[in-house]
Amino acid sequence: MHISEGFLSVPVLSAGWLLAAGEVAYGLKKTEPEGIVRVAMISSAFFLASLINIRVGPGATHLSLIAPMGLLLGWGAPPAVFAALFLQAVLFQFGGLAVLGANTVSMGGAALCVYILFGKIVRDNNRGIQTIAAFAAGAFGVMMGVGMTGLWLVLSDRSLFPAAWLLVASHLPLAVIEGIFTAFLVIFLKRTFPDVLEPVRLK
Amino acid sequence: MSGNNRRTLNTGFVVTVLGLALFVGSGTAFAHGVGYRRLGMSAVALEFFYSTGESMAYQNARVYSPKDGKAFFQSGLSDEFGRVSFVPNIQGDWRIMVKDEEGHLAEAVITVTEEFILGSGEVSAETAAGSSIPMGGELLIRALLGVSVLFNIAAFVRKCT
Repeated sequence: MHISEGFLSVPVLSAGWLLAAGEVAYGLKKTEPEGIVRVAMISSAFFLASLINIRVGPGATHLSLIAPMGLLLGWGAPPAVFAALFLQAVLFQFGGLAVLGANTVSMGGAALCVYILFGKIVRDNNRGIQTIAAFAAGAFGVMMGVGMTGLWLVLSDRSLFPAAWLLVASHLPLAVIEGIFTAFLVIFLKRTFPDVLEPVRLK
Repeated sequence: MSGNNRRTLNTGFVVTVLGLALFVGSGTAFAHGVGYRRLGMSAVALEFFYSTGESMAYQNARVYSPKDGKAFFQSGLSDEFGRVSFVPNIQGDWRIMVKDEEGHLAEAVITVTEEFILGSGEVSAETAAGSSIPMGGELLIRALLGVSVLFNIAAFVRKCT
């Protein structure tokens, strides 16, 4: 889901950085100091998840953990995504530093949307609705993240539209996998650590 | 000249023109035909894989010649086992890149010698640079370093706020 260096135009890269700066700054402002450790913990999981590849059809992919980040961190998700993506770019050469802004907006923005759309439903309903909502959140997180990635590509170069469309379509299996994973995670956390599903407290 | 003779001449002319047209036409058809021949040239074959050991199967692969580092010499997909092969035509450093949809990029630079192209050397191409993805122990160290940095950033932010 990471956009690599060399694909985005300078105006799109600048817009990405501008939006990411706003998202991360506001996220940090809204997050209570007590929640920072949880942000670091989930950010670490996101950082490490990129190393575990799952074979899907002819290719391989890895869990994006966009929905768990949104559900567990709320507004704390964009700073967590930014820090993890920065370290992935520096230590593993995934994505890149110039495209860090655009990648942060894609994944951090998707996590934030998951929190806004599904956070309350996942927390406050019975187990059946929670499970369905968690599955939908997981699938939605992936598709929104990859949709925004495709949008960045098309905004940079209209001729990349078929490639962007292919990128979105190829992530459908991951959306299903991530939906199932998120549903299991929510059921597990509800049983064992229900408080964790409360997002990082906001100021 | 009698009528019969003239008719015979006309028929002969038509047959000649038709024959000529068929000959030219068949020549054109041969020019657009396809064929193949087996080559005895040396090929470079590389295998690309993830840090977890899984092959980078069916991923976008590009080969860049030493002559032109921007326009690709060959483009396609890696095979089921993450392998890419090509037949170099000049000596120098050839760049082979395999990239998946997640943005993982593996890049190799292969130095091809003249002996390798001529087929006189057994192993004349050598890897000058391997995968951009760290492997094994180095990967573990980098992963631990990343997690450590994240917690240190958290501690710093918490101290500042």
